[in-house]
Amino acid sequence: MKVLGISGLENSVHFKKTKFRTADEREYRISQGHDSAAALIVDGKIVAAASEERFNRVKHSGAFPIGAVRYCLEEAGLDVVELDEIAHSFNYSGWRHMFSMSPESAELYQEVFSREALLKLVERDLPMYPQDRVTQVDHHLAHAASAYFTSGWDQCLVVVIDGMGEMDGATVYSAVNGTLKRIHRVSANNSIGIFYSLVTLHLGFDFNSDEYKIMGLAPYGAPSRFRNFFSNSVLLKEGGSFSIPPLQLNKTPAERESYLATRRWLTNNLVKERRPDEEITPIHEDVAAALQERLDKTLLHLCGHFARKTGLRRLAMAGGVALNCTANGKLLESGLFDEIYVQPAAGDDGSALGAALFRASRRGAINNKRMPVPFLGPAYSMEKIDAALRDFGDRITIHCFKDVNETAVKAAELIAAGRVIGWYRGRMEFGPRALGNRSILADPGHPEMRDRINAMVKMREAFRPFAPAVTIEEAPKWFNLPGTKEHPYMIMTVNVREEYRLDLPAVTHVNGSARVQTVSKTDNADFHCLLKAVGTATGREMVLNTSFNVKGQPIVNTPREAMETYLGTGIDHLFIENLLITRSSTPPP
Amino acid sequence: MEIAVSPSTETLEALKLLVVEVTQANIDPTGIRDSANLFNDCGLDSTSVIDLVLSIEDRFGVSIDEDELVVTLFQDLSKLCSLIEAKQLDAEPVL
Repeated sequence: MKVLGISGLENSVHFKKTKFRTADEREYRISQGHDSAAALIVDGKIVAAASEERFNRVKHSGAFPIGAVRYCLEEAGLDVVELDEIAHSFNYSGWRHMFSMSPESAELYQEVFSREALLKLVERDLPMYPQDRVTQVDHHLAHAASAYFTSGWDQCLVVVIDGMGEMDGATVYSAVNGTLKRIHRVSANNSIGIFYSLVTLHLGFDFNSDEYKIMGLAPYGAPSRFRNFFSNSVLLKEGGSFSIPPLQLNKTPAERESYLATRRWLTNNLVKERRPDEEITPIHEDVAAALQERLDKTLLHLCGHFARKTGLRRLAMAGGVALNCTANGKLLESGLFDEIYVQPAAGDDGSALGAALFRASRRGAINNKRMPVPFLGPAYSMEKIDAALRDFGDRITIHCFKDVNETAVKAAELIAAGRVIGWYRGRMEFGPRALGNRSILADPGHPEMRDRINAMVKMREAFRPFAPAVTIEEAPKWFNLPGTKEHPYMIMTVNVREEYRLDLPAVTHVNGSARVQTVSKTDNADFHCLLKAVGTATGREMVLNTSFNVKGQPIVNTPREAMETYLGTGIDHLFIENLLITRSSTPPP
Repeated sequence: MEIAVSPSTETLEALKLLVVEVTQANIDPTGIRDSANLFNDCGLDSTSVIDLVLSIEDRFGVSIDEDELVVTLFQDLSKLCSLIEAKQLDAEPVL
């Protein structure tokens, strides 16, 4: 059984640009169907998965994921017609009557959401594929399947929480013996994800993209100043639910399209809108702090209620809001659950995986095992790597090591000496995090490292913290790990042990927290080997691990992109497999 | 599903209250006609429909599928009310 899942709504932004012109480009992101991806399941096993942005190089692209589809087919050695099914992670079919209410919404349905719109894209990019084998899965159900069917659990509570999927903003499922039963839903009209994104936009960042920056900004502020404001904006209701009255203020089509009335209300009642180029001041930090606190409480309220009601002590999560590491960390700390699993590609890229898993499960072809660290993207042969390097000719010098052990010793030596290195090996990660195959690494003990990487390498905001990657063996030594000590996906915030906070300035946030990634030999043997070597060189089996990209760029995929990013930034050295690459202008290490 | 012809006054009054609560329209629930068009008379729109449906499911303990959400259902309050009552008769216990 071969099922390909896809996500994204290619026409979404184009439709909005045609119908609702605006001077602020950022408003076009207030739409559905970004982060398109493809994921392939063959006989119950996840064979390949990747986001389209890594191929078309447009960050958060919602285009039909033809690059990712081609990669998945190539990885499995399949022709498209051999696929039993292509499953899309949106299904608006049930809502078609409601969209026929006005000519405007009918047009939106027809051009963006309808099955006909999907089939047109399939016909354009995969003309040989029989259209009767294209299926559609409800968006939140796809997310739920992505979490449940990769959790390795027979029974658990599943919570999906995002901006909007069809008409839902949050859904809760009880998952038992391979079946997902929806037991609660909160509509998109009361979506905490949309509300968080609107405040993100209001504070000068990008909707549906920069929410993690607000999460990073929050610990600099104090929640008390705006606590009441957010308590009155996000009302916690009986039965685990919640409502958000400011989202109901939008009445005209234009208001609804870009939440204009809600945003005016934020200006009048919270803080004036910050333009992206304006300075971030303490008031913005306090808004972020109070907003994050309200999100934490809302998730505890929702998940806590259904934990008690169902008696389920394991929680699996997905949806864009489930990428909020701070809220996840609070859930972990709360003790409401014995175990929490957040599917690492929790955003819409992961809904492609979920659509495929759900359809495979309906056809009895599923193997519910905990997902390993998702190295599901492409790897490149030495021939391809050599070809890419040749094009950079005399701009670089190359040193070749015998094996990964020798490579790790040299990389560790450079890291210990305060160098910033690019680390590119094996298959690319699926999901938003670089987990050791497309990473930029440095020593977390250097006090100036955070500012240096933010300014010279990543070219991004100075306030944003970096994450530590640490061996599973040493993780409990450096971090307080409530519950499980395994955190392989960098998706939970935990606290750095108080006595070590000053020793780890580059990865410890102002509130003492860190977005930790634990690494075992099984997770990633080569990365584990490097961390062990770093331990010998620095006394800590730990590195600062950030994604191999610069601001606004998708994480690098090919060796050529790795080279271009290396040469265009302040990264000191680049390791591609067992090759050490250094600029010719830099003395060889 | 067969829909009863005349809904009870009790369900109608409860539904009117719910409609005003969801739409936040500045109208008196007792002034809403039994045959009111919720879009024209009560400020319901395509985005608040789902909230109304979720509220109905909560309040009346019934389940309405997306496929049942046809425009005409909301163009006559008494029709919506009859659907709810018919479903209440068939309602299965909820978890």
